[in-house]
Amino acid sequence: MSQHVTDAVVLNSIDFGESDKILTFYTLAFGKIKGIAKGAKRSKKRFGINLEPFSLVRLHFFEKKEDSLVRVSACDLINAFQGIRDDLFKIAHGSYMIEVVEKMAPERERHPELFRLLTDFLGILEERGMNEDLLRVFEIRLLDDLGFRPHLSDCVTCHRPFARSIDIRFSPEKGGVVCRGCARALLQTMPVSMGTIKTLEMALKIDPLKVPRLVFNRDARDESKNILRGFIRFHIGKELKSLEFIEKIKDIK
Amino acid sequence: MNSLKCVATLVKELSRLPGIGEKTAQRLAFHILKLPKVEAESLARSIVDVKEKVKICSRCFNITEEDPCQICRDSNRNEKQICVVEEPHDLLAIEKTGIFKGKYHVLQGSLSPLDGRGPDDIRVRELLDRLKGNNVDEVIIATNPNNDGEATAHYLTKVTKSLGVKVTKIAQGIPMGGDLEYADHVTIGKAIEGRREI
Ligand SMILES: [Zn+2]
Ligand SMILES: [Zn+2]
Repeated sequence: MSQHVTDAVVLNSIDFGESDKILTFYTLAFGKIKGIAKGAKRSKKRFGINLEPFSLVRLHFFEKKEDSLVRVSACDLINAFQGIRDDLFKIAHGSYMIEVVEKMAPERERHPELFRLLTDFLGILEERGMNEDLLRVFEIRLLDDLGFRPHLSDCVTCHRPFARSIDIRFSPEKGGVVCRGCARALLQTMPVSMGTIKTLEMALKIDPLKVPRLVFNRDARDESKNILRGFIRFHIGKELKSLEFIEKIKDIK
Repeated sequence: MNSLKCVATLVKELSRLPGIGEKTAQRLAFHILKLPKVEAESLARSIVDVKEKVKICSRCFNITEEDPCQICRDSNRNEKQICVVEEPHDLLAIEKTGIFKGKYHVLQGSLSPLDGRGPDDIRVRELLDRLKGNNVDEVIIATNPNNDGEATAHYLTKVTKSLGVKVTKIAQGIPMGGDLEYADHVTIGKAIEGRREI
């Protein structure tokens, strides 16, 4: 049995039995881990908001070799991101961010840059709210951090260079831009222009905290949404629940 | 053990109940086995009875044996106040305090951004219909103080206010991340008294 302490963001929290909770965390030191908090439903003093999604906590846990779930022994709150919880649309967009991390990140694979990306973006969401451009920056950097950086420099299949938007498509399956010729052999490809590629390359380099300075033009906005959502859907294999939720509340002012 | 097929079936059925593991289920099954026949029959009948007799109130969506339910029919209760809760057990928790004298609306769930559950998946439209039809002065939101409950409260605030109805929300007392079901009476009572307009 070994004891560990690490910073963690709560991604999901499900009631289990009379008084326990099953939790998913994205941790700084261990990547995504799942654990059980015994007595969490009854012991408000020990847990409470600390175990709600979005919360940034210092997580204390121990593990026995035979169990797949770690045992959560304590959770000290670092930041509840209360500003997210105070607004329906911030909750919705924050839920999208943590759901993407939960579904895309493999268990027990350490990616400290993804942990920082998530906490930075929860902070941005809390303070300034979210917009489509910021979500694209979040998505492409998450893909990059997990080793799925979209290939944008030349055709991902034949490596022929390209110069005109009309010559290229994007393939979620190949994970990058393909030339017209190679696109013909693929089931699903999407339109992408040179301008969008430049914007996405910039999104990969820019300091996340200065992100509001990056403004996508209309084509780049539509295309990059299409491409990145398609790429993520290809990896997860289904629609994200939080996107269904965002769709269901979109008409409310 | 394997030869006792009906005992095994009982253990399997019991272990499907929330919070009952394999061992507890086995203990319960052997306890039932030792019960006098009348007691075992009365237990079985009560299970069948709740399934046959308990229905959903067509006004407030609480569970009830008669439709409308007793609370909806009670003319001594204030029709101008509607307290909105997620589940029947939340209503029960508030009723136990004896502080609230208005009527209820049971949503039969909550919005859930992470489960993709939206307004049309719970009894929101039915609540709005009640607000349009009646002269309701105040909607008191008593959803659970966790993320899903908060999302539900924000949503209800927006749509209820757009109908020109005053909205309050139970405030202090209930800790975040908890469940109304497990809060004590004093806490729930204080939360009802300490509601505020938002
Ligand atoms: Zn090619
Ligand atoms: Zn009723």
